[in-house]
Amino acid sequence: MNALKDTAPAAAGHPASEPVRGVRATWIYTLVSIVFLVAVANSLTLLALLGADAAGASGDGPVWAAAVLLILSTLTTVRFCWFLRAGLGQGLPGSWPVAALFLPPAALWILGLFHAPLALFAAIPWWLACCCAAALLAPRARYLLLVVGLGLLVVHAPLAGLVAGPAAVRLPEDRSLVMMGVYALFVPLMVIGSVWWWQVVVRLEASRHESSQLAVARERLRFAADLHDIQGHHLQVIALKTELAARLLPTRPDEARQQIEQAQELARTALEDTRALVYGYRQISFADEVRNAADVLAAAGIRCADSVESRGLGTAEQKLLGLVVREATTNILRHADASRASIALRPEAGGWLLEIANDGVARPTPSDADPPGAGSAGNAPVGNAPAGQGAAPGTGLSGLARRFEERGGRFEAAADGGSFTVRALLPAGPAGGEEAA
Amino acid sequence: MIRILLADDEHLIRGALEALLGLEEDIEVVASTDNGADAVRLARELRPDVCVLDLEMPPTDGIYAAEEIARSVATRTVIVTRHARPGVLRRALASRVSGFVPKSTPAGRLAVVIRDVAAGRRYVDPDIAASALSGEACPLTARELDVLREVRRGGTVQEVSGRLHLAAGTVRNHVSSAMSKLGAATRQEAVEQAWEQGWI
Repeated sequence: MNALKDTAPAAAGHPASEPVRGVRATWIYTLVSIVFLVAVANSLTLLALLGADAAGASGDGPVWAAAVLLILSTLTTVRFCWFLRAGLGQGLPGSWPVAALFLPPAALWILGLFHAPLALFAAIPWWLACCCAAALLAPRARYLLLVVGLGLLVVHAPLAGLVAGPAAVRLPEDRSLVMMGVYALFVPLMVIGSVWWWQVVVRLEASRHESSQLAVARERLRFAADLHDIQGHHLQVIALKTELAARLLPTRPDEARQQIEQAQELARTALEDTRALVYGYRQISFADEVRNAADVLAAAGIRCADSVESRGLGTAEQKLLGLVVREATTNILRHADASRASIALRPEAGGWLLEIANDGVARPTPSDADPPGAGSAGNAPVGNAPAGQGAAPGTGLSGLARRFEERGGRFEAAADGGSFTVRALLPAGPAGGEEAA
Repeated sequence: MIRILLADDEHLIRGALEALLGLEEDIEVVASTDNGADAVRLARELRPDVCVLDLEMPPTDGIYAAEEIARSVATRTVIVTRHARPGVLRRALASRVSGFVPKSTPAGRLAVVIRDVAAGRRYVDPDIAASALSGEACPLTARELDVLREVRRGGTVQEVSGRLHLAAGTVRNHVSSAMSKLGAATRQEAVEQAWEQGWI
C-alpha cells in the first residue's frame, strides 16, 4: 500500500503520454489476434482443399480455382479487419469494402456446391467473413447475419450432396468435424469479444480525456473563486482606506499618511496571496524539481551536476526536500561568482540525505538582508540567519533547519574552504521507507 | 551615481517607479519608454548602468529586449514582472539578465537590487526561483519554440516563415509537431500552453 502511495507522485509526472501508447498497443493486439485467427482458419482450409485434390477424386481445375478464391477471400477478410477499429456495432464501412469482403467467399461457396470434394470447406471463408462483418453491425442485424451465415455453413454439405449425390461428399472424420464445429463457434465469440474489448478501451480513454477536461474546468472555477475572495476583499479595503486618506489629507495629513501606508501594506499582501495561490496549484516531483534547478543554474552559466535516487520518497518528504532545493538554488543564483554546483539525494541511515554544494564564496550582500517573508539569508551560516519578524515559518535556511529538526532530521549549511554546502538529513517518515520502492 | 533606463508599457507603474527611484540619492533615471524597441535604441544611445525592463512589453518581451541590449552595450539588466511563468527565469538567465524581481517589490527594495546589480551581483527573487523550479520540462526543440513565438506575434504561416527565413511547409511541420507534443488541438492552444509555461 505504501509503495503505491509513494510511487504515485513520480508517475504523475507524465499524465498524457502513457495511456495513449497503451490504447495504440491494444488496437495492434486486437488486430493481430483477429488477423491471426482468420489466417490460420483459411490456411487449414487451404491444406484441406489441396488434400482433397491429392486424393485424386476429380480434375484439377475446380480445386485450383477454389484455392485462388480462398486466397483472395483471405486477403479481403484480413483487409476488412482494419475497419473493425471503428468499434462494435459502429456500422459497415461502405458498399465497396463489403462487396470485396463477401464476393470471393460467396463465389467459393457456390463453386463448392458443384464440386463435391470441396463441400463444407468451401463454406468456411464465408463464415469468417460473416463474423468480421457482424462485429460492425448493430445487435439485431449482427445476430441475423450470424444465424444466416451459420445456416449457410451448415447446409453447404447437404446441398452439395443433393447436387452431386451424397456419395461424392466426403466429410472429415467425426473427431475433426467436432473440432471444426468448435472452432467455427469460437470465431464469432473471439472476433466480437476482441472488438468489444477494444471499444471498452477506447471509451475509457475518451472518458479519461473528458474527465481531465472537466477537472481543468473545475479547477478554473475554483481558482476564479479563490482569486476573487483574495482580491475582492483587499481591493475593497484599499479603496476605502485611500478614500479616507484623501478626505483626511487637507486637515490631518499625519493620519492620512497612516491610512496610505496601511493601503500600501494591504496591496502588497494581496499580491503575495495571489502568488501563493498560483504556486499552490503546482506540484511536481522532487526529481523534476532538481532537474529544473540544474537547468536554471546552467542557464546562468553555473555547471550543475545532479544525481537523485528518490525511489520510495514520500510526498511530504518530496515537498520538504524540494524547499531546500529552492532555497539553495536561489542562494547560488545570487552569488554570481559560483561556477559549479552539485545537487545529490541518496538514501542514508534509513532516511534521505540531500547535499547541495557550490563553489561560490560566501559573501554577504546588501540584498541578503531580506525583508520579512522574502525568505533566504544568502550564504550566511544558519545560526546567524536573520529570522525576520513575521517571516512565514519554514522559509529561509533557519526556518528549514527548524522544520528538519521537528521531523527528527538534521540540517547544516556551512562554508568549507572555497565551497558552501547545504546538508539535509531527513529520516524516513511513517509513510515511506527504503523498502517501499 | 547609477544611471538607469526604465521600460514598462504600463504608464501608471512606470510613472510611479520613475518618481520613487528618482527619490533615491544615488540613482538617476536617464530615460524611460513604453516598449522594447525604444528601450534597445535608448540603451545604445545613452549607455545606462542598469536597464529595468518589464517582462510583458511589446513588441516581443523584456527578455528579448535584454538580449538585444546585451549584444551591443555593456550594461546590466533587471527584469520586473507581474506574474513569473515557470520557464521565463531560465530564459532570462540565458540572456544574461542579472536581476529578476516581481512588480510587487517595493521601490525602496528595487533600489537595493539595482545597486546590487550595478555592483556586478545577481539577484533573483526567491518566489520567482520557486516558480521556475516547479515548471514542467519543455519537450519542444529550439526551432519549434521559435516558430511558436512567431506564431504568437501573429500573421499567416507565410508571414511567419518569412520572418524566420524558413519554408512555409517547414513552419507547418514544426507547428504540428509542437501541437502533438503538447497534446494541443489547435495551433492557438499550443501557443497558449507554451506561453503559460514561459517557454516562449
